[in-house]
Parts: sequence; structure tokens; C-alpha cells
Amino acid sequence: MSPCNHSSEIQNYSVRLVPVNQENQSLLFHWRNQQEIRQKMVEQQIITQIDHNRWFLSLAHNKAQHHFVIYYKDIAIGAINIRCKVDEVLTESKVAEVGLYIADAQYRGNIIAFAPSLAINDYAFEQLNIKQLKSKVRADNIAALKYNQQLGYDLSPEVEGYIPISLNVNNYHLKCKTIKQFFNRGNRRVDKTT
Amino acid sequence: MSIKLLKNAFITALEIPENEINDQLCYSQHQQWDSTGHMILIAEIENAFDIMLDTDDIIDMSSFLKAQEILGKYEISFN
Repeated sequence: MSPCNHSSEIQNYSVRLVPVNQENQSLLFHWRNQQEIRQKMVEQQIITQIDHNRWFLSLAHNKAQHHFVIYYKDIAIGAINIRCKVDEVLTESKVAEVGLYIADAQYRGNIIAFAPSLAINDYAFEQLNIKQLKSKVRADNIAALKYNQQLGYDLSPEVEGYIPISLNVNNYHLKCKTIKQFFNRGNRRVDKTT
Repeated sequence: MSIKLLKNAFITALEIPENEINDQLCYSQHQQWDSTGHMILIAEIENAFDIMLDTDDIIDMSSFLKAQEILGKYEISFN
């Protein structure tokens, strides 16, 4: 059974964003409950298997969210999602929120961590016609704040322990032009050792 | 010679002193080596060694030690 509410895989910047499906959904249950992932999230409680199953089945009818598993070189390294307000339809909304985590520690501190955000931001601005991405980050999550600044997000003053952040398409393209070029350069060198 | 060129690339790109450059210097673990610093570093390395790095190698270049390993594939020796 594949309750995914959208069929499109996104492939760009050396990563594939594969819609959450029956085969990969258990990865999210495992990853999301890891302490090092949970402690960075807005919602930090442990998710039960029942709640996870209920959430997964709800995806088929949820027009406000698209969820993906991130693959780099055929390795599942994390998850990313884009969502609008619960009573809206993502494909018709002008404002959305992106959330992600890199579950594989090997890639968390690697520049590849920017690739899924670039891919989904392109998807948001170019295919969904989103005008602004807004979110909030825990004020003590310095790494996430810096990460989002490098994507072009503006940071607002702290509110109750969280930093509101926002990104418009112009700032995004301005800030990310160079890093996109590096990711899209490709591989031309022939490894003479093989 | 190659190690000096590589160190100079790191010094220039990341704006850090030479004494902070060692095999343990890693992307995202030094405040100067963020995504912006990484792109500047790649450009400095390519310019210093007159090469163009593949995307996979740009992604893999996550430490000073790893940089030496990767440049070895471009026939740059550090021995």
C-alpha cells in the first residue's frame, strides 16, 4: 500500500527525494525517535508505532503536506517535508514550511546536507508556485540557524525560545546560485585506479 | 610543495591561521568552514592546482586529510 499523496520523485543536486511510501516509511519511524534527532525538533516526544502508522496512512488524504525520504548515492540519509496550513492545499498555497533532518551522522556535517533543501526549495518556488517559506527554529539550535541563513533565510527576533525564519524566492536564488553550480557540475574525471 | 599549496588554499579561503590547519580540521566543525567557506575553498584549491573537481569530490572534501586523499586522484602527490 502506498498512501503517498503525490507521485513525483525530485532528483537534483546529487540527491533524490523519494515520496514516503510503504517501503521507506519505517525509516522515518526509526530516525525520528532517535534522541539526537528528537532533541532538535519542535515536537520532541517519542512517537509510538501506532501514531506513526496512523500518520503514514493519513498521508494519502493530506493535501497540505508532501513528505520525502532523502537518498544520496542510493543511501537513505534523512527526511524532508514541505507543508502549508492544515486547512489549505499545498499546491494552491503561497506560503509553506520546509522541515528536514539528516539522520545519517556521516552526512550531517557534510555539504551534501544542503542538497535536499535546494531540491525542495526549487520544487516549492518553481513547481508549487510558493512565494514564501516560513518556519521556526529552536533558538539553541545554532547549527540549524546558520544552515538556514546560508540558504538565504532571514532570521527574526526570538519568540518564546524559537527564532522565526523566512525565505523569499529572490533571496534564495541570490544566496544559493554558487552552491547550486557546484552541485550541478557533474563528474567527468575517470578514476584511473579502476 | 603540494602540501604548502594546499595549506595556503585553506588559509586564504577560510581566513584561518596556519596553526589551525591539521588533518583533524573538518567541515562544519570549524566556524569558518561553512558552506560559503567550502565553496571559496574549492575555488582556491582548483586555482592553486589548476584542476576542476568533480561534484562527488566537492561533496567528499570534508576535512584537510580528505582533501589530500582526493587530490591524489588528480595525480597530485603529497609525499
